Amino acid sequence: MDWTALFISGKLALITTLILVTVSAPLAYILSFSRFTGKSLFEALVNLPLVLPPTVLGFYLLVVMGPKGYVGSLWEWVTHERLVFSFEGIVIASLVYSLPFAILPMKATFSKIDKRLLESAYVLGLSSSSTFFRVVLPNSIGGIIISAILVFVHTLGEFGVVLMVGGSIPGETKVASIAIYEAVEALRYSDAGMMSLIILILCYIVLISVNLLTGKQSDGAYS
Amino acid sequence: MALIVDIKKRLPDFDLEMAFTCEDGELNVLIGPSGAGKTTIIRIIAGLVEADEGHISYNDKTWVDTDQGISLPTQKRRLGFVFQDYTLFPHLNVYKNIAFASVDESEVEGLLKLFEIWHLRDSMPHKISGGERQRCAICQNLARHPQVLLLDEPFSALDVAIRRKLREGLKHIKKDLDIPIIHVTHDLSEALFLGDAILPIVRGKVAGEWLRKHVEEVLEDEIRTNKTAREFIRSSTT
Repeated sequence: MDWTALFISGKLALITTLILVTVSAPLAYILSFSRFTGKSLFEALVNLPLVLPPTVLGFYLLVVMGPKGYVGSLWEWVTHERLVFSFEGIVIASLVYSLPFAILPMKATFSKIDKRLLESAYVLGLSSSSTFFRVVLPNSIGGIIISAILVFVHTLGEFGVVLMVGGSIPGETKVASIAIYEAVEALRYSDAGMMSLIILILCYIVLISVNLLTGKQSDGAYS
Repeated sequence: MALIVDIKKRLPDFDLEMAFTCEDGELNVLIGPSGAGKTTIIRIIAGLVEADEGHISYNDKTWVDTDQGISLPTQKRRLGFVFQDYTLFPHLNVYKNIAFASVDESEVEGLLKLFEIWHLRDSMPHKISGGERQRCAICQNLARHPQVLLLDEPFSALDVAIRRKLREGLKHIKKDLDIPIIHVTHDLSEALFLGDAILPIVRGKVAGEWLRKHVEEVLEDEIRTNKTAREFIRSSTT
């Protein structure tokens, strides 16, 4: 059994979740409450990873993050290291791949907030950013937790995008899903079975948590 | 010092045109039927809705001047706005709601005691009654030391006894506040009880004729349904 691959999956999921929740909250706030030209185009772009086949997304990420791509060459210029086939590379790929899973639940939660609460905050002298931190966020905890859980579990199960951008370098980019695939290919079914069982139990616990939180949210505990 | 309002706004069904002045310590009532544009007027004063044309100023400070492209953000107008259905922050208890934007937190206790909700300081908004929530909302706005207070049918969702009590409370603190207060209502008795000036509004414009008819209707209704009123009319006409 490949404990290192499981550890890398967990590390990748945790880092992706922390970054995405932080970045997505203000983005979802803007998408929920602002009007700007090209908003629907921008939203479609953010949600594109939901419908794109992972290999297609992985291919484009490989192009952009490769040594000749904009992101890859910039990365090399700053760090003097390659972005593709590195842990940092699969983190960036995961951020793109899981972005809609962070944005959509948050946006749904923000949209449920009574607009008069925002108006009340403005009347009481709060700026838009203070309103976000002092009114919107505290009333959206449930949605943010759901968003974090979905990103975590989605990243944990990543295969196609990680394989395209990171390959399968043991101890670096070889995540659990790739290790399971390779174990099956090598006919090491007990290893594959054990790793699959661990991920299955983890995902099941996570889904139960989401259901409990969603139930509480619809009861008004977090809304 | 006075709040000076002279605004125009094109609405889907009619054009709103309103001009009035409200001095410090004065309470102006905007009264009219539903959909007359009353709430839109105070939302324009608050900066929550933009006026198409016009001018709003307080104490020589221009809040809105469409000719010069001035529109001071809501946050900078330092006003109080009590909404019809008490928009308290659901994640904060009563005390924290009032302290939320208070100028001086040491005043919060006094305000809570003045409005008789000190015992509810640790309660969450969803655990207290409508009347208590509305008192809390008024305290929240007063704690900010507003230059102008806007009240959008603040008592309409409350039962008669609480409404009467809050009206009396508002009348009591009006002079102490010494700021312009704009009070929106469709309740004639409330308007007559509180108002230093009453502006009847129908389809976005001042409509004195509507007020006269409305007073007659209310009186006729009172005479029809109230035995004491009927006897008074009878005794005074014989």
